[in-house]
Amino acid sequence: MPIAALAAFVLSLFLAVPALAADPAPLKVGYIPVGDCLQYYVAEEEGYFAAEGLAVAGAAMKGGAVIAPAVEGGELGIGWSNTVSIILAHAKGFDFAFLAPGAEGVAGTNDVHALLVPADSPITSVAGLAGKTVAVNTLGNINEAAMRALAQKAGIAPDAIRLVEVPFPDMAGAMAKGSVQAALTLEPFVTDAVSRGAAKVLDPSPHAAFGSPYLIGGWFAKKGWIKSHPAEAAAFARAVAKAAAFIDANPEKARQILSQRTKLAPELAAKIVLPRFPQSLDPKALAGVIDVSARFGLLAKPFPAAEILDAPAQ
Amino acid sequence: MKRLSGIIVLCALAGVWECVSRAGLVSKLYFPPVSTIAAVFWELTVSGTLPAQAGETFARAVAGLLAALVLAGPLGLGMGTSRRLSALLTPAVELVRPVPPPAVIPAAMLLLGIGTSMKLSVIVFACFFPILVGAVDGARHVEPGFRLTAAAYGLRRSQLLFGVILPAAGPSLAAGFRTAVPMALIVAVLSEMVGASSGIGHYILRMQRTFAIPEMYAGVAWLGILGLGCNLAVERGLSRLLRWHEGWKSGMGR
Repeated sequence: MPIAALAAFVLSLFLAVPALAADPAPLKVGYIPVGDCLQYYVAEEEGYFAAEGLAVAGAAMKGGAVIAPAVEGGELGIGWSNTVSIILAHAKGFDFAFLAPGAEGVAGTNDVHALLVPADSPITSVAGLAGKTVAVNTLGNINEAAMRALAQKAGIAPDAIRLVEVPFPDMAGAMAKGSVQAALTLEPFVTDAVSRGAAKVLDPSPHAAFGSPYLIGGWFAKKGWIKSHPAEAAAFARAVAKAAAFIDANPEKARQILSQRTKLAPELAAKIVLPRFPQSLDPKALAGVIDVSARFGLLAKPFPAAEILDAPAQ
Repeated sequence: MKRLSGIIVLCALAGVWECVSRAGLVSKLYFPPVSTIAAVFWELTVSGTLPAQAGETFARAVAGLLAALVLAGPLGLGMGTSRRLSALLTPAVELVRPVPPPAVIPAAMLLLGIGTSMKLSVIVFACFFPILVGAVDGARHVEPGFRLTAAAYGLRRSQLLFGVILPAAGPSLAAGFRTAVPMALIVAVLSEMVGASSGIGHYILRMQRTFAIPEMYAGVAWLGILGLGCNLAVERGLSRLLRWHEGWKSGMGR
Protein backbone atom coordinates (compact mmCIF):
# COMPACT_ATOMS: atom_id res chain seq x y z
CA MET A 1 0.00 0.00 0.00
CA PRO A 2 2.12 2.91 -1.18
CA ILE A 3 -0.23 5.51 0.27
CA ALA A 4 0.00 3.96 3.73
CA ALA A 5 3.77 3.95 3.39
CA LEU A 6 3.71 7.59 2.32
CA ALA A 7 1.48 8.52 5.22
CA ALA A 8 3.80 6.72 7.62
CA PHE A 9 6.76 8.55 6.12
CA VAL A 10 5.09 11.94 6.43
CA LEU A 11 4.07 11.20 10.00
CA SER A 12 7.58 10.11 10.90
CA LEU A 13 8.84 13.43 9.54
CA PHE A 14 6.50 15.28 11.85
CA LEU A 15 7.60 13.16 14.79
CA ALA A 16 11.27 13.64 13.97
CA VAL A 17 11.11 17.43 14.07
CA PRO A 18 10.19 17.80 17.76
CA ALA A 19 12.80 15.13 18.57
CA LEU A 20 15.46 17.35 17.00
CA ALA A 21 14.32 20.23 19.16
CA ALA A 22 15.58 18.48 22.30
CA ASP A 23 18.54 20.30 23.81
CA PRO A 24 21.88 18.87 22.68
CA ALA A 25 24.50 18.32 25.38
CA PRO A 26 27.37 20.32 23.83
CA LEU A 27 26.53 23.72 22.38
CA LYS A 28 26.11 23.22 18.64
CA VAL A 29 27.25 26.15 16.53
CA GLY A 30 26.77 26.51 12.79
CA TYR A 31 29.32 28.59 10.89
CA ILE A 32 30.47 29.14 7.31
CA PRO A 33 34.08 28.13 6.59
CA VAL A 34 35.13 31.56 5.28
CA GLY A 35 37.05 34.55 6.58
CA ASP A 36 33.87 36.14 7.96
CA CYS A 37 33.71 33.37 10.59
CA LEU A 38 37.36 33.66 11.58
CA GLN A 39 36.31 34.35 15.18
CA TYR A 40 35.08 30.80 15.50
CA TYR A 41 38.42 29.27 14.50
CA VAL A 42 40.37 31.64 16.74
CA ALA A 43 38.12 30.99 19.75
CA GLU A 44 38.63 27.26 19.24
CA GLU A 45 42.41 27.42 18.62
CA GLU A 46 43.02 29.76 21.56
CA GLY A 47 40.76 27.77 23.88
CA TYR A 48 38.35 30.64 24.57
CA PHE A 49 35.28 28.39 24.48
CA ALA A 50 36.83 25.96 26.97
CA ALA A 51 37.95 28.86 29.18
CA GLU A 52 34.30 29.95 29.37
CA GLY A 53 33.29 26.42 30.35
CA LEU A 54 31.63 25.75 27.02
CA ALA A 55 31.76 22.47 25.13
CA VAL A 56 31.23 23.69 21.59
CA ALA A 57 30.55 21.39 18.67
CA GLY A 58 30.97 23.33 15.44
CA ALA A 59 29.28 22.49 12.16
CA ALA A 60 30.73 23.98 8.97
CA MET A 61 27.72 24.76 6.81
CA LYS A 62 26.99 26.26 3.41
CA GLY A 63 25.32 29.47 4.45
CA GLY A 64 22.54 31.21 6.29
CA ALA A 65 19.91 29.44 4.20
CA VAL A 66 20.96 26.13 5.78
CA ILE A 67 21.94 27.44 9.19
CA ALA A 68 18.70 29.34 9.91
CA PRO A 69 16.40 26.30 9.61
CA ALA A 70 18.78 24.33 11.85
CA VAL A 71 18.68 27.06 14.50
CA GLU A 72 14.90 27.36 14.17
CA GLY A 73 14.49 23.60 14.60
CA GLY A 74 16.78 23.55 17.64
CA GLU A 75 19.41 21.39 15.95
CA LEU A 76 21.88 24.25 16.44
CA GLY A 77 21.92 26.54 19.46
CA ILE A 78 23.79 29.35 17.73
CA GLY A 79 24.56 30.05 14.11
CA TRP A 80 26.32 32.60 11.95
CA SER A 81 24.31 34.42 9.33
CA ASN A 82 24.60 37.43 7.12
CA THR A 83 22.61 40.39 8.35
CA VAL A 84 20.01 40.55 5.59
CA SER A 85 18.85 36.96 6.13
CA ILE A 86 18.13 37.69 9.79
CA ILE A 87 16.42 40.96 8.87
CA LEU A 88 14.14 39.15 6.40
CA ALA A 89 13.52 36.26 8.81
CA HIS A 90 12.52 38.73 11.52
CA ALA A 91 10.10 40.43 9.14
CA LYS A 92 8.51 37.04 8.43
CA GLY A 93 7.96 36.33 12.11
CA PHE A 94 11.05 34.28 12.98
CA ASP A 95 12.24 34.75 16.53
CA PHE A 96 15.92 35.35 15.68
CA ALA A 97 18.30 37.89 17.16
CA PHE A 98 22.03 38.54 17.01
CA LEU A 99 23.72 37.87 20.33
CA ALA A 100 27.21 38.85 19.18
CA PRO A 101 28.61 40.70 16.17
CA GLY A 102 30.34 38.58 13.55
CA ALA A 103 31.99 40.81 11.01
CA GLU A 104 31.82 44.43 9.97
CA GLY A 105 32.65 46.08 6.69
CA VAL A 106 34.49 49.39 6.87
CA ALA A 107 34.77 51.41 3.68
CA GLY A 108 38.37 51.93 2.63
CA THR A 109 40.01 49.57 5.09
CA ASN A 110 37.87 46.47 5.53
CA ASP A 111 36.05 46.01 2.23
CA VAL A 112 35.66 42.27 1.91
CA HIS A 113 33.38 42.68 -1.10
CA ALA A 114 34.20 44.17 -4.47
CA LEU A 115 32.45 44.63 -7.78
CA LEU A 116 34.69 43.05 -10.42
CA VAL A 117 34.72 43.14 -14.20
CA PRO A 118 36.91 41.03 -16.49
CA ALA A 119 40.42 42.46 -16.89
CA ASP A 120 39.76 43.29 -20.56
CA SER A 121 36.28 44.71 -20.00
CA PRO A 122 35.47 48.00 -21.74
CA ILE A 123 33.15 48.92 -18.85
CA THR A 124 34.63 51.64 -16.67
CA SER A 125 31.76 52.65 -14.39
CA VAL A 126 28.68 51.20 -12.72
CA ALA A 127 26.54 53.23 -15.13
CA GLY A 128 28.13 51.23 -17.93
CA LEU A 129 26.46 48.11 -16.54
CA ALA A 130 22.97 49.27 -17.55
CA GLY A 131 21.36 46.46 -19.53
CA LYS A 132 24.18 44.10 -18.60
CA THR A 133 24.13 41.00 -16.39
CA VAL A 134 25.85 40.92 -13.01
CA ALA A 135 26.49 37.86 -10.84
CA VAL A 136 25.49 37.90 -7.17
CA ASN A 137 25.74 34.90 -4.87
CA THR A 138 22.11 34.98 -3.81
CA LEU A 139 19.18 37.04 -4.98
CA GLY A 140 17.03 38.67 -2.36
CA ASN A 141 20.06 39.18 -0.16
CA ILE A 142 22.57 41.76 0.99
CA ASN A 143 24.31 41.73 -2.38
CA GLU A 144 21.13 42.31 -4.38
CA ALA A 145 20.32 45.30 -2.15
CA ALA A 146 23.88 46.57 -2.63
CA MET A 147 23.70 46.29 -6.43
CA ARG A 148 20.35 48.10 -6.57
CA ALA A 149 21.78 50.89 -4.43
CA LEU A 150 24.92 51.09 -6.58
CA ALA A 151 22.84 51.38 -9.74
CA GLN A 152 20.77 54.16 -8.26
CA LYS A 153 23.87 56.01 -7.10
CA ALA A 154 25.32 55.73 -10.61
CA GLY A 155 22.21 57.43 -11.96
CA ILE A 156 20.62 54.43 -13.66
CA ALA A 157 17.36 52.68 -12.70
CA PRO A 158 17.83 50.26 -9.78
CA ASP A 159 16.59 47.38 -11.95
CA ALA A 160 18.49 48.40 -15.08
CA ILE A 161 21.10 45.79 -14.20
CA ARG A 162 20.05 42.16 -14.59
CA LEU A 163 21.15 40.08 -11.62
CA VAL A 164 21.74 36.33 -11.77
CA GLU A 165 22.70 33.90 -9.05
CA VAL A 166 26.16 32.41 -9.33
CA PRO A 167 27.99 30.82 -6.40
CA PHE A 168 31.06 32.86 -5.35
CA PRO A 169 33.61 30.25 -6.51
CA ASP A 170 32.05 30.14 -10.01
CA MET A 171 31.89 33.89 -10.59
CA ALA A 172 35.31 34.29 -12.16
CA GLY A 173 34.47 31.48 -14.59
CA ALA A 174 31.11 33.03 -15.45
CA MET A 175 32.86 36.33 -16.21
CA ALA A 176 35.49 34.62 -18.33
CA LYS A 177 32.74 32.85 -20.30
CA GLY A 178 30.94 36.11 -20.86
CA SER A 179 27.78 34.85 -19.14
CA VAL A 180 27.98 37.87 -16.84
CA GLN A 181 29.67 41.19 -17.44
CA ALA A 182 30.49 41.84 -13.78
CA ALA A 183 30.40 40.04 -10.45
CA LEU A 184 29.81 41.22 -6.91
CA THR A 185 32.16 38.90 -5.10
CA LEU A 186 34.03 38.68 -1.81
CA GLU A 187 37.33 37.60 -0.36
CA PRO A 188 39.29 35.48 -1.03
CA PHE A 189 37.86 35.47 -4.56
CA VAL A 190 38.48 39.20 -5.04
CA THR A 191 42.20 38.96 -4.30
CA ASP A 192 42.50 35.68 -6.17
CA ALA A 193 40.92 36.95 -9.40
CA VAL A 194 42.67 40.31 -9.31
CA SER A 195 46.12 38.93 -8.50
CA ARG A 196 45.78 36.34 -11.28
CA GLY A 197 45.09 39.20 -13.67
CA ALA A 198 41.66 37.78 -14.52
CA ALA A 199 39.65 40.71 -13.24
CA LYS A 200 39.84 44.32 -12.21
CA VAL A 201 37.93 46.21 -9.56
CA LEU A 202 35.07 48.37 -10.79
CA ASP A 203 33.92 49.41 -7.32
CA PRO A 204 35.95 48.65 -4.20
CA SER A 205 33.15 49.46 -1.73
CA PRO A 206 29.94 48.11 -3.28
CA HIS A 207 28.23 48.07 0.12
CA ALA A 208 28.80 51.77 0.77
CA ALA A 209 25.04 52.45 0.75
CA PHE A 210 24.75 50.62 4.07
CA GLY A 211 26.97 53.21 5.74
CA SER A 212 30.31 52.52 7.34
CA PRO A 213 30.86 50.45 9.35
CA TYR A 214 27.97 48.09 8.56
CA LEU A 215 27.32 44.68 10.05
CA ILE A 216 28.01 41.97 7.46
CA GLY A 217 26.79 39.22 9.72
CA GLY A 218 26.90 37.84 13.20
CA TRP A 219 26.12 35.12 15.69
CA PHE A 220 22.41 34.63 16.13
CA ALA A 221 20.04 32.43 18.07
CA LYS A 222 16.35 32.26 18.80
CA LYS A 223 15.40 34.87 21.38
CA GLY A 224 13.64 32.08 23.25
CA TRP A 225 16.87 30.10 23.34
CA ILE A 226 18.87 33.09 24.62
CA LYS A 227 16.30 33.56 27.37
CA SER A 228 16.39 29.90 28.39
CA HIS A 229 20.19 29.58 28.13
CA PRO A 230 21.45 32.89 29.56
CA ALA A 231 24.74 31.50 30.88
CA GLU A 232 25.65 29.70 27.67
CA ALA A 233 24.65 32.65 25.50
CA ALA A 234 26.73 35.07 27.59
CA ALA A 235 29.72 32.71 27.69
CA PHE A 236 29.60 32.33 23.91
CA ALA A 237 29.38 36.09 23.39
CA ARG A 238 32.40 36.58 25.68
CA ALA A 239 34.41 33.90 23.85
CA VAL A 240 33.84 35.41 20.40
CA ALA A 241 34.53 38.91 21.76
CA LYS A 242 37.88 37.63 23.05
CA ALA A 243 38.52 36.13 19.63
CA ALA A 244 37.72 39.51 18.05
CA ALA A 245 40.24 41.18 20.36
CA PHE A 246 42.83 38.54 19.47
CA ILE A 247 42.33 39.08 15.72
CA ASP A 248 42.71 42.82 16.24
CA ALA A 249 45.94 42.39 18.22
CA ASN A 250 47.48 39.50 16.24
CA PRO A 251 46.42 39.84 12.61
CA GLU A 252 49.29 37.71 11.28
CA LYS A 253 48.55 34.84 13.65
CA ALA A 254 44.85 35.14 12.84
CA ARG A 255 45.60 34.83 9.11
CA GLN A 256 47.68 31.73 9.80
CA ILE A 257 44.78 30.16 11.67
CA LEU A 258 42.46 31.07 8.79
CA SER A 259 44.74 29.47 6.23
CA GLN A 260 45.14 26.29 8.30
CA ARG A 261 41.46 25.90 9.05
CA THR A 262 39.97 26.82 5.67
CA LYS A 263 42.74 25.25 3.53
CA LEU A 264 43.22 28.65 1.95
CA ALA A 265 46.64 29.01 0.32
CA PRO A 266 48.88 30.85 2.86
CA GLU A 267 49.99 33.45 0.32
CA LEU A 268 46.31 34.23 -0.42
CA ALA A 269 45.41 34.25 3.29
CA ALA A 270 48.20 36.78 3.85
CA LYS A 271 46.91 39.09 1.12
CA ILE A 272 43.12 39.09 1.42
CA VAL A 273 41.17 41.87 3.09
CA LEU A 274 39.60 40.76 6.36
CA PRO A 275 36.44 42.27 7.81
CA ARG A 276 36.67 44.07 11.13
CA PHE A 277 35.55 42.06 14.12
CA PRO A 278 33.87 44.37 16.62
CA GLN A 279 33.47 43.31 20.23
CA SER A 280 30.00 44.66 20.88
CA LEU A 281 26.76 45.03 18.96
CA ASP A 282 26.03 48.47 17.59
CA PRO A 283 22.49 49.11 16.30
CA LYS A 284 23.90 51.82 14.04
CA ALA A 285 25.85 49.19 12.06
CA LEU A 286 22.50 47.53 11.24
CA ALA A 287 20.23 50.49 10.61
CA GLY A 288 21.68 51.24 7.18
CA VAL A 289 21.27 47.64 6.03
CA ILE A 290 17.64 47.62 7.17
CA ASP A 291 16.94 50.92 5.40
CA VAL A 292 18.52 49.86 2.11
CA SER A 293 16.72 46.50 2.23
CA ALA A 294 13.42 48.31 2.67
CA ARG A 295 14.23 50.88 0.01
CA PHE A 296 14.78 48.23 -2.65
CA GLY A 297 11.81 46.06 -1.84
CA LEU A 298 13.49 43.17 -0.05
CA LEU A 299 11.73 44.25 3.11
CA ALA A 300 8.13 45.50 3.25
CA LYS A 301 8.93 48.19 5.81
CA PRO A 302 11.92 49.14 7.99
CA PHE A 303 12.03 48.38 11.71
CA PRO A 304 14.28 49.50 14.59
CA ALA A 305 17.58 47.60 14.60
CA ALA A 306 17.19 46.90 18.32
CA GLU A 307 14.45 44.38 17.49
CA ILE A 308 17.00 41.90 16.21
CA LEU A 309 19.75 42.55 18.73
CA ASP A 310 19.68 40.58 21.94
CA ALA A 311 23.08 40.77 23.59
CA PRO A 312 22.96 38.59 26.69
CA ALA A 313 23.78 40.17 30.03
CA GLN A 314 27.56 39.86 30.46
CA MET B 1 -14.87 4.59 -6.49
CA LYS B 2 -11.14 3.94 -6.62
CA ARG B 3 -10.48 7.58 -7.49
CA LEU B 4 -12.76 8.75 -4.68
CA SER B 5 -10.90 6.79 -1.99
CA GLY B 6 -7.64 8.27 -3.27
CA ILE B 7 -9.05 11.76 -2.94
CA ILE B 8 -10.26 10.98 0.59
CA VAL B 9 -6.73 9.92 1.60
CA LEU B 10 -5.35 13.11 0.06
CA CYS B 11 -7.83 15.23 2.02
CA ALA B 12 -7.04 13.29 5.21
CA LEU B 13 -3.31 13.97 4.76
CA ALA B 14 -4.01 17.66 4.23
CA GLY B 15 -6.19 17.57 7.36
CA VAL B 16 -3.41 15.97 9.40
CA TRP B 17 -0.96 18.62 8.14
CA GLU B 18 -3.41 21.40 9.03
CA CYS B 19 -3.96 20.04 12.56
CA VAL B 20 -0.30 19.29 13.26
CA SER B 21 0.66 22.80 12.19
CA ARG B 22 -2.18 24.58 13.98
CA ALA B 23 -1.56 22.64 17.18
CA GLY B 24 2.01 23.93 17.15
CA LEU B 25 3.53 20.42 17.14
CA VAL B 26 6.00 21.67 14.54
CA SER B 27 7.35 25.11 13.79
CA LYS B 28 4.43 26.97 12.24
CA LEU B 29 6.91 29.10 10.35
CA TYR B 30 8.39 26.14 8.48
CA PHE B 31 5.21 24.05 8.30
CA PRO B 32 2.50 26.64 7.78
CA PRO B 33 -1.06 25.23 7.80
CA VAL B 34 -2.27 23.94 4.43
CA SER B 35 -5.00 26.58 4.48
CA THR B 36 -2.39 29.36 4.68
CA ILE B 37 -0.45 27.84 1.79
CA ALA B 38 -3.66 27.42 -0.21
CA ALA B 39 -4.53 31.08 0.27
CA VAL B 40 -1.06 32.20 -0.84
CA PHE B 41 -1.19 29.72 -3.72
CA TRP B 42 -4.47 31.18 -4.91
CA GLU B 43 -3.25 34.75 -4.59
CA LEU B 44 -0.01 34.07 -6.50
CA THR B 45 -1.90 32.11 -9.14
CA VAL B 46 -4.52 34.77 -9.76
CA SER B 47 -1.90 37.52 -9.84
CA GLY B 48 -0.06 35.55 -12.50
CA THR B 49 3.24 35.32 -10.61
CA LEU B 50 3.37 31.53 -10.38
CA PRO B 51 1.88 30.80 -13.81
CA ALA B 52 4.53 33.05 -15.38
CA GLN B 53 7.40 31.32 -13.57
CA ALA B 54 5.97 27.84 -14.19
CA GLY B 55 5.38 28.76 -17.83
CA GLU B 56 9.07 29.49 -18.32
CA THR B 57 10.04 26.21 -16.72
CA PHE B 58 7.45 24.37 -18.81
CA ALA B 59 8.67 25.99 -22.04
CA ARG B 60 12.27 25.00 -21.32
CA ALA B 61 11.27 21.46 -20.40
CA VAL B 62 9.19 21.03 -23.56
CA ALA B 63 11.88 22.48 -25.82
CA GLY B 64 14.49 20.17 -24.28
CA LEU B 65 12.19 17.17 -24.50
CA LEU B 66 11.38 17.74 -28.17
CA ALA B 67 15.01 18.33 -29.05
CA ALA B 68 15.90 15.07 -27.30
CA LEU B 69 13.15 13.26 -29.21
CA VAL B 70 14.41 14.58 -32.54
CA LEU B 71 17.98 13.57 -31.70
CA ALA B 72 17.50 10.31 -29.84
CA GLY B 73 14.51 8.87 -31.72
CA PRO B 74 16.11 8.40 -35.16
CA LEU B 75 19.46 7.49 -33.64
CA GLY B 76 17.82 4.82 -31.47
CA LEU B 77 15.86 3.38 -34.39
CA GLY B 78 19.09 3.28 -36.38
CA MET B 79 20.96 1.53 -33.57
CA GLY B 80 18.11 -0.92 -33.14
CA THR B 81 18.10 -1.91 -36.80
CA SER B 82 21.76 -1.76 -37.70
CA ARG B 83 24.13 -4.13 -35.95
CA ARG B 84 27.11 -2.12 -37.13
CA LEU B 85 25.82 1.20 -35.78
CA SER B 86 24.85 -0.47 -32.53
CA ALA B 87 28.31 -2.00 -32.06
CA LEU B 88 29.83 1.38 -32.81
CA LEU B 89 27.78 3.42 -30.33
CA THR B 90 26.67 1.06 -27.56
CA PRO B 91 29.85 1.31 -25.44
CA ALA B 92 29.72 5.10 -25.47
CA VAL B 93 26.01 5.14 -24.69
CA GLU B 94 26.37 2.65 -21.85
CA LEU B 95 29.18 4.69 -20.35
CA VAL B 96 27.40 8.04 -20.44
CA ARG B 97 23.85 6.85 -19.76
CA PRO B 98 24.24 6.13 -16.02
CA VAL B 99 25.58 9.64 -15.30
CA PRO B 100 22.84 11.39 -13.28
CA PRO B 101 21.82 14.53 -15.22
CA PRO B 102 22.25 16.88 -12.22
CA ALA B 103 25.90 15.82 -12.15
CA VAL B 104 26.50 17.37 -15.57
CA ILE B 105 25.18 20.80 -14.50
CA PRO B 106 28.54 22.02 -13.13
CA ALA B 107 30.34 20.89 -16.28
CA ALA B 108 27.65 22.44 -18.46
CA MET B 109 28.07 25.71 -16.55
CA LEU B 110 31.80 25.70 -17.28
CA LEU B 111 31.30 24.92 -20.95
CA LEU B 112 28.21 26.93 -21.73
CA GLY B 113 27.90 29.50 -18.97
CA ILE B 114 24.65 29.99 -17.11
CA GLY B 115 22.29 30.99 -19.87
CA THR B 116 19.49 29.23 -21.71
CA SER B 117 21.85 27.06 -23.73
CA MET B 118 23.22 25.50 -20.54
CA LYS B 119 19.75 24.77 -19.18
CA LEU B 120 18.49 23.36 -22.47
CA SER B 121 21.48 21.14 -23.04
CA VAL B 122 21.19 19.63 -19.58
CA ILE B 123 17.49 18.91 -20.20
CA VAL B 124 18.31 17.37 -23.57
CA PHE B 125 20.99 15.25 -21.89
CA ALA B 126 18.51 14.02 -19.29
CA CYS B 127 15.79 13.16 -21.82
CA PHE B 128 18.08 11.77 -24.49
CA PHE B 129 18.85 8.40 -22.95
CA PRO B 130 15.38 7.18 -21.89
CA ILE B 131 14.15 7.99 -25.41
CA LEU B 132 17.20 6.42 -27.03
CA VAL B 133 16.91 3.21 -25.03
CA GLY B 134 13.19 2.98 -25.77
CA ALA B 135 13.84 3.44 -29.49
CA VAL B 136 16.71 0.93 -29.59
CA ASP B 137 14.71 -1.71 -27.71
CA GLY B 138 11.64 -1.15 -29.81
CA ALA B 139 13.45 -1.33 -33.12
CA ARG B 140 15.55 -4.31 -32.05
CA HIS B 141 12.59 -6.40 -30.96
CA VAL B 142 10.50 -6.07 -34.05
CA GLU B 143 8.83 -9.42 -34.67
CA PRO B 144 11.21 -11.25 -37.10
CA GLY B 145 8.19 -12.43 -39.07
CA PHE B 146 7.32 -8.82 -39.88
CA ARG B 147 10.73 -8.21 -41.33
CA LEU B 148 10.67 -11.41 -43.37
CA THR B 149 7.25 -10.57 -44.68
CA ALA B 150 8.38 -7.06 -45.52
CA ALA B 151 11.42 -8.47 -47.30
CA ALA B 152 9.23 -10.97 -49.18
CA TYR B 153 7.03 -8.11 -50.41
CA GLY B 154 10.14 -6.20 -51.43
CA LEU B 155 9.51 -3.13 -49.27
CA ARG B 156 11.89 -0.24 -49.75
CA ARG B 157 13.98 0.90 -46.80
CA SER B 158 11.78 3.90 -46.09
CA GLN B 159 8.66 1.77 -46.35
CA LEU B 160 10.20 -0.71 -43.94
CA LEU B 161 11.06 2.07 -41.52
CA PHE B 162 7.75 3.93 -41.53
CA GLY B 163 5.46 1.00 -42.24
CA VAL B 164 6.93 -1.71 -40.06
CA ILE B 165 9.71 -0.71 -37.67
CA LEU B 166 8.33 2.60 -36.41
CA PRO B 167 4.86 1.26 -35.57
CA ALA B 168 6.32 -1.88 -34.00
CA ALA B 169 8.80 0.15 -31.98
CA GLY B 170 6.11 2.68 -31.08
CA PRO B 171 5.09 1.36 -27.66
CA SER B 172 8.68 0.99 -26.50
CA LEU B 173 9.60 4.41 -27.86
CA ALA B 174 6.52 5.84 -26.14
CA ALA B 175 7.52 4.23 -22.85
CA GLY B 176 10.96 5.84 -23.13
CA PHE B 177 9.37 9.17 -23.96
CA ARG B 178 7.08 8.92 -20.97
CA THR B 179 10.07 8.30 -18.70
CA ALA B 180 11.71 11.38 -20.15
CA VAL B 181 8.77 13.71 -19.40
CA PRO B 182 9.23 13.96 -15.61
CA MET B 183 13.00 13.97 -16.14
CA ALA B 184 12.66 17.06 -18.31
CA LEU B 185 10.73 18.88 -15.58
CA ILE B 186 13.05 17.75 -12.79
CA VAL B 187 16.17 18.85 -14.60
CA ALA B 188 14.59 22.10 -15.78
CA VAL B 189 13.85 22.97 -12.14
CA LEU B 190 17.30 21.90 -10.98
CA SER B 191 19.04 23.94 -13.65
CA GLU B 192 17.03 26.96 -12.54
CA MET B 193 18.40 26.60 -9.05
CA VAL B 194 21.85 27.67 -10.25
CA GLY B 195 22.69 30.77 -12.19
CA ALA B 196 19.12 31.71 -12.97
CA SER B 197 16.91 34.70 -12.47
CA SER B 198 13.60 33.16 -13.51
CA GLY B 199 11.64 29.93 -13.57
CA ILE B 200 9.80 28.07 -10.86
CA GLY B 201 12.97 26.39 -9.53
CA HIS B 202 14.55 29.77 -9.05
CA TYR B 203 11.36 31.09 -7.46
CA ILE B 204 11.19 28.28 -4.89
CA LEU B 205 14.81 28.76 -3.91
CA ARG B 206 14.46 32.51 -3.64
CA MET B 207 11.40 32.21 -1.40
CA GLN B 208 13.24 29.77 0.86
CA ARG B 209 16.22 32.13 1.10
CA THR B 210 14.05 35.09 1.99
CA PHE B 211 12.00 33.11 4.52
CA ALA B 212 8.81 33.47 2.49
CA ILE B 213 7.83 29.92 3.42
CA PRO B 214 4.14 29.77 2.35
CA GLU B 215 5.20 31.22 -1.04
CA MET B 216 7.87 28.51 -1.27
CA TYR B 217 5.31 25.74 -0.70
CA ALA B 218 2.95 27.38 -3.18
CA GLY B 219 5.73 27.12 -5.78
CA VAL B 220 6.25 23.46 -4.93
CA ALA B 221 2.51 22.86 -5.25
CA TRP B 222 2.52 24.46 -8.69
CA LEU B 223 5.28 22.10 -9.73
CA GLY B 224 3.28 19.14 -8.51
CA ILE B 225 0.27 20.23 -10.50
CA LEU B 226 2.39 20.99 -13.56
CA GLY B 227 3.98 17.54 -13.38
CA LEU B 228 0.63 15.86 -12.95
CA GLY B 229 -0.82 17.77 -15.88
CA CYS B 230 2.13 16.92 -18.14
CA ASN B 231 1.97 13.23 -17.27
CA LEU B 232 -1.77 13.05 -17.85
CA ALA B 233 -1.52 14.92 -21.15
CA VAL B 234 1.31 12.72 -22.38
CA GLU B 235 -0.51 9.52 -21.37
CA ARG B 236 -3.68 10.67 -23.10
CA GLY B 237 -1.76 11.63 -26.21
CA LEU B 238 0.22 8.43 -26.36
CA SER B 239 -2.72 6.14 -25.79
CA ARG B 240 -4.56 7.89 -28.59
CA LEU B 241 -1.52 7.58 -30.84
CA LEU B 242 -1.11 3.90 -29.98
CA ARG B 243 -4.78 3.02 -29.84
CA TRP B 244 -4.26 0.27 -32.41
CA HIS B 245 -1.75 -1.48 -30.18
CA GLU B 246 -3.18 -4.35 -28.14
CA GLY B 247 -0.51 -4.42 -25.46
CA TRP B 248 -0.64 -0.69 -24.85
CA LYS B 249 -4.39 -0.70 -24.50
CA SER B 250 -4.55 -3.75 -22.29
CA GLY B 251 -2.32 -2.30 -19.65
CA MET B 252 1.33 -2.51 -20.70
CA GLY B 253 1.32 1.22 -21.11
CA ARG B 254 -1.08 2.21 -18.42
